[in-house]
Amino acid sequence: MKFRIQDISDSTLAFNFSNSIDEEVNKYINLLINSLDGNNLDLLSVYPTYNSLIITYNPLKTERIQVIELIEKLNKAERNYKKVEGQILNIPVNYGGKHGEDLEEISKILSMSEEQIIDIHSSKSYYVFMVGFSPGFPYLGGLDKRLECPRLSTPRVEVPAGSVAIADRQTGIYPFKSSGGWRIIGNTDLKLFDKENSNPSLINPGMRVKFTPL
Amino acid sequence: MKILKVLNNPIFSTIQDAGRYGFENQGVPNSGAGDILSYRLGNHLLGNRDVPSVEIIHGNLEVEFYSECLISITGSDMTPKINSVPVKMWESIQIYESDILTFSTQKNGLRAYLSIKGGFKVKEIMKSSSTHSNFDVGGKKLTINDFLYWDPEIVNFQNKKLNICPDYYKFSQLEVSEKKLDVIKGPEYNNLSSTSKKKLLDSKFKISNRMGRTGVVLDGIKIEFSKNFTDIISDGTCKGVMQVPKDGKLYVLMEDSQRIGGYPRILSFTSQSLNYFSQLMPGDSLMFNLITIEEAHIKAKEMEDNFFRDNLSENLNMNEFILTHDNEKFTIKSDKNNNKIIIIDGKPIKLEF
Repeated sequence: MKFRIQDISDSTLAFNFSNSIDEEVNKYINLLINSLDGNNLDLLSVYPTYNSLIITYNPLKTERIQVIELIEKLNKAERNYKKVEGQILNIPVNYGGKHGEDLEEISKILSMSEEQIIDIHSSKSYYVFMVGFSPGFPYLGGLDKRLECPRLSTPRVEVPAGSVAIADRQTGIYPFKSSGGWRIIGNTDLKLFDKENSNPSLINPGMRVKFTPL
Repeated sequence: MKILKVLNNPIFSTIQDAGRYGFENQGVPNSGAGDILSYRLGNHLLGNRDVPSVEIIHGNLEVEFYSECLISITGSDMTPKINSVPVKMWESIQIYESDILTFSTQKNGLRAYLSIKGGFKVKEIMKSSSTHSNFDVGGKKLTINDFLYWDPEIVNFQNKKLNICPDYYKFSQLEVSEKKLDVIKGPEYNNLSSTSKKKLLDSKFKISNRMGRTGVVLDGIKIEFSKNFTDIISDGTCKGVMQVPKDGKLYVLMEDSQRIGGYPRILSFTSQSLNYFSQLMPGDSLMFNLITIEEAHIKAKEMEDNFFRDNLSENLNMNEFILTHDNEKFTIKSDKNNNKIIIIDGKPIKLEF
C-alpha cells in the first residue's frame, strides 16, 4: 500500500496511508504493526491512528532511515488484510435517564424516540480504529448517519467514568472521569482500563465493539 | 526502607523517570521527566540508569533524610539548602541522617530534579514509575508526610561533578531576540498562509498562564492557514509538537499529553531544544529558529557527546560551602558525622548550629 512519510518531531515518524477514514487501511496498519514484532531497532512507541502508523525512535540509537527502510520492507510483503476480523467485545449499557443525561435532548434534536436511538446505536458492531484521548478511550467509527448530532457547545467539566457518548459520526466510551464535549447516552459498569494489568485497556485497536442495552 | 519524608506540601513535585513507552496503542501518555537532559545528568552523576527521581516544579519542597545517602540536584536553581546551608547543584552530594533539604522558589527555570544513588523505589505501573498529572496511572504528587523509599546502597565516597552543565541561568537572562529555540517543520507546516509562515519566525511568543505537564499555550500572533486548508483527521502527536486549534494560538504538547490529536501540527521543538523550553515559566518569551531534521539529529548527538562523554570528574569539594562575612570568605566543610567544620588560619573549628 502506498504511504507518505511525515516527521511529527525529530524522533516521531508517521507513515500515512490514506487521507480518509477507512477500516481496511486501519486493518492493514495493524497487520504491519504485528509484523514489526521482533525487529531489532529498539523502537519506543509503535501505534496506529485512523490512517497512520506512528513510530517513536531514539535518534541517538536508531537512524531515521533505518525505521523508514524497515517499514518499506514490511510494506512490500503481500498481506491479506481484507479478511482480518477482530474480536467482538460486548459492552452492557444502561441507556438514558441518569446514566445517559443527554439522551432526552438528542431525542428532541433528532426528532426520534429514545427507544429508536437505543435500537440504532446497539444494532451494529463498531470497529476500533484507535485508542487515545484518555487511557482506554476507543475511537469507534461508523455511527449510523441517523444519529449524527453536533458536540455540546460547552464541554462538560466532568463526564462520569463509563459514559457511552456520541458526537458527529462517532461513538465512544469514557473510561475515566474527565472533561468532554460528546453527548452522553448511557453508561457501562465494565472496567475499561486496569492499570495493574499487563494489557491494561479492555478495548484495543482492531477489535469490534457491540453495545447491549440492559 | 524509608529514605526521606516530605515535610511540606510542595506546589507540584512528582516522581518521574525516562517515561512510560509501549502503551500508546492503549491511549497511555508517555509522562516522564520534562527536562530529560537535567534528569539524565542528575542520574549520570550518581552512576544510575534512568531510575525514578523527583521532579520539582515551582520549587518549595522540604524533605528530611533518614539515612546516609548520595544525591544530586540538577535543572533549575531553586536555591537548594541542606540544614539551611546552600549546596551546589550539578554534583553529587553526601547526605547524612536527619539532614533537611529545602528548595525555595525557582530563579531561572521551572523544573529541578532530586536524584538519589540507586533511585527512589516506586512501584512500576506499565513499566514506569512516572506520575501522570491527570490520570491515575503512575506514581503520585508528593504531599506532606509522604515517604519515599530506596534500597540502601553501600555509599562510597566517589563524589562526582559535571565539567559542563546546561546553563539555564545564562539562557534565562538572554534578550528575547537571542532566546531562539530550534524547531522543525511539522506535517501541516506547508498549509500555513504565507504571511503566517513568515511571521512565525519573526515573532516573539510568550508562555501564558495556561501551562503544565500536559501542554503550554503560547501567547503571540494569530496563526492562519491557507484558504483551501480543511481540518485534519485526528492523527499522531508527541511531546514538543505545536498544534494550532481554531483560536489560532500555539499549543505546545508536553510530556503528559495524548499521543493522538485533531489539530494541525505546524512545528515541533527538537529533542535538544525541548529541554530548554520545558524550563520556561509564565511570562517568559521566546522565538523560533527553524532547522532541518538532519540538523536536529546532529545537534542531539552533539548534546549527547557534550554532556555524557567524559563530562564527569572527581568532586574534591564535597559538601563545601562558602560563607561570606565582612567581605571575607570562609569555607565550611562537613565531616562524616555531619559536623560542620570551618577552617580559619589553617585550623579546623567545629561549628554549632
